Amino acid sequence: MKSLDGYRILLVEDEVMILIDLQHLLESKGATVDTAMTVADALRVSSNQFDAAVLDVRLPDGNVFPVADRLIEHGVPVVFHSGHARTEQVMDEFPGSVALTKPASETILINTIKSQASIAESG
Amino acid sequence: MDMPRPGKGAPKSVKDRLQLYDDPDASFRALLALDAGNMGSWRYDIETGFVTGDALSAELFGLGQLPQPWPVDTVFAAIHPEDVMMVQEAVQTSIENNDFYDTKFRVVLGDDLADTASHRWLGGRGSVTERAHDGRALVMVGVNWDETHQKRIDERMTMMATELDHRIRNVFGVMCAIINIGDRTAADKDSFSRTLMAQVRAMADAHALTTNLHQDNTGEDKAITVSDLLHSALAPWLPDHHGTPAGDDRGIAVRITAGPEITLPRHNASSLAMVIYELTANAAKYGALSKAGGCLDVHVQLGSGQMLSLQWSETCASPAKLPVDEDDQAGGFGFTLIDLCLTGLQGKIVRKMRPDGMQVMLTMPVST
Repeated sequence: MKSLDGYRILLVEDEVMILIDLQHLLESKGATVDTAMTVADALRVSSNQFDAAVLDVRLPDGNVFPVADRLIEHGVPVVFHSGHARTEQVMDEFPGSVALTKPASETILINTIKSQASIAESG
Repeated sequence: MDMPRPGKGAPKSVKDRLQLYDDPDASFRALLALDAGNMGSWRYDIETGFVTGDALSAELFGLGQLPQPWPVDTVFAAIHPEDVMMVQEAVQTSIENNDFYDTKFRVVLGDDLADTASHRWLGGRGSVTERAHDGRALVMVGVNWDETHQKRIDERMTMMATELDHRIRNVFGVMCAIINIGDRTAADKDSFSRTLMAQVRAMADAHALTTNLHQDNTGEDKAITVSDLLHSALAPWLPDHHGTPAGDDRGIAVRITAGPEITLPRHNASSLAMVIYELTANAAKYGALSKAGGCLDVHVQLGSGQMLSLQWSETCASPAKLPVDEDDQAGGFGFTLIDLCLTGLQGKIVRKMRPDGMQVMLTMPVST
């Protein structure tokens, strides 16, 4: 049994190398991964079908916050994965979410996804 | 940011402190100095609570219309609510410690507090100049000056430092990802290190190109030209700035045709740089840039619908060492990266290995 078996995860990241690398990582842990590289694409797929979302903050067509709003509305736990140093700002705006500084270690990323998803399920 | 000051904490009369007894020009020169330094000056009668100021300090605080003397509360009321406590405390501390205060604060000139364009930043210094025999402070004198321009520069520096921090983190993120991808797809150590090296150079040079363009001081992102990218990637094979043909001693000819008007947003530039550097590294190892007599033609044009096309044609004097095709393991990692970059650029790439060298046709949309 892999650690993310049965999870469906939305991954939003505009840097294609990071996107492919993370997608591979999550899939290797058993998750099904949907990807988007822009806010517009992410908004098209954002819905309640996901168990968790990993979101880069700054995208070519703006910041990812409208996507985060939509996902949280649907009860999808959000993990921000950002190059911005001031992660606490993001967490102030989205209480209950977690912000990881890029590049986050694989173990931390996966553990964070799991703990956020389990909090969302029990809540 | 208090500066050391002789005599701090030791009350002395102002005249003793300034040693002005034998200088009859001192007061006129002080006025000229205030004017030259663009500083407004004022006198605060602490006993009565009234302030008188010159024309410039009235203007700086936006009090020009009000009759003098001004109640001290009127002066404080001109200060931004978020800053006023800090200024009052600085003034009070300077009175108690017999030292001068040194502050920067905002005055609000419009009706809308949120409108930062209506804020004026002032610098201010002052100190007690007269005390009663029992030590009570009687009079404070000080100056103010406009700090708005400096503050805007500071703000832009902070913004650029944040931006730079973000980009550096991003570069580390991309490097980690490339190493992971290489770990999964590179067939051998040689192809792994060659591609990694090309990618580090691509990122460094793409960064250098954006940073150079930043020096116009606008703080805005500037577009990179495709021509710049090609010239920096192929620099070792191009004539240098003095017209000395660098590639010539090895008998390698490189021709670049790319109009200076074809530009890329910064975000696209790094991905296209990765592609160009990978093609270059490949050509230097196996293709037209590896042996005397080689020839590389790169032709870039902008077609309808903002479609950029880049044609990369290698001609080798003798048959290319290694026919690199889609199935070739040695080319695997580099070509995996190229394909990923093109996905990110929403473009297409077609590679053909002809007997005399590789032909690449790349197309991608460039938004303006």
